[in-house]
Amino acid sequence: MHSIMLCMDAQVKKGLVDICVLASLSRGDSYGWQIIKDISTVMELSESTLYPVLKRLEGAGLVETYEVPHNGRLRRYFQITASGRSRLGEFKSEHEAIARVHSYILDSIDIEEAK
Amino acid sequence: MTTKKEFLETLEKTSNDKELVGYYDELISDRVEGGGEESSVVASLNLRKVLRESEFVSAKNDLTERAQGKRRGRALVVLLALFSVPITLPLAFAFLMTCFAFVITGVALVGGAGAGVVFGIMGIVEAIRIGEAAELILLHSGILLVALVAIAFIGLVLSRVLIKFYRWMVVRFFMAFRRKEAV
Repeated sequence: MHSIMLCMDAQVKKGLVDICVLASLSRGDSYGWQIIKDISTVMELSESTLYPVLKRLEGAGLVETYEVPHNGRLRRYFQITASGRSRLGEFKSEHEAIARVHSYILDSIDIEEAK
Repeated sequence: MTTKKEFLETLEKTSNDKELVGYYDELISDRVEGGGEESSVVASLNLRKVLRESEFVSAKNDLTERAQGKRRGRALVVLLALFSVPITLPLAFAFLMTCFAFVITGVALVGGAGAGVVFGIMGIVEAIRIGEAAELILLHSGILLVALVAIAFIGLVLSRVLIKFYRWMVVRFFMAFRRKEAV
């Protein structure tokens, strides 16, 4: 799974990063480095890639932030909003339709290979 | 560049984005707390990529702000247009009347010059037919020449004005069309 996600098409990956961050935050509030660690198990994600994603999601009202004191400094936490959760719900519906297309394509490939 | 301080200072100088600096400040601290060595953590960060990504975000924000500014500007223009109707309406009427006067003057000039040509030719023909003096034929020829010069001059001026107007309209139309396409 890991290797598959690493060699994923850049455009597909770009569309999935936002959803991945939202999915990660749906499990609980988190901060920058933790989000990167969580997502890196399924997709390669660098610090410089995450920053614009978080800014975009915050700008769209899908996540919000708050700060918590930690070891003498302030750590910025990200929290998914109701709009963010509904975006995840939309993704689930979209995914079901896409999964049917994938299944059709894969079945066709299997038939072709069996010939 | 080996220390976090140096990295953040360079980042602040080049990006001028405090939020971005805060993000990397926290990130480096977290990675160091997680057991990483500061110098290797900083070395793993690609400053050029960081700046490129942050510039992209700033550019997008600038575009959004510019679009909002444009919308505000349009609303102001509409408001000003509404309030200035008592002044602009008589001005527009006066402008139209001036344009009309120019057109009428042009028509009169062309008509006058045309009449000059006709009467000039008729005068010459008549003078030759009844055997008038050469001076009179010369006078009629002069009238004809003046009328022809006047027609040529008016034609030249009108054609130049019309060509300029046509070019202006075409350029405006195509620019508006291209702007719509770009949007």
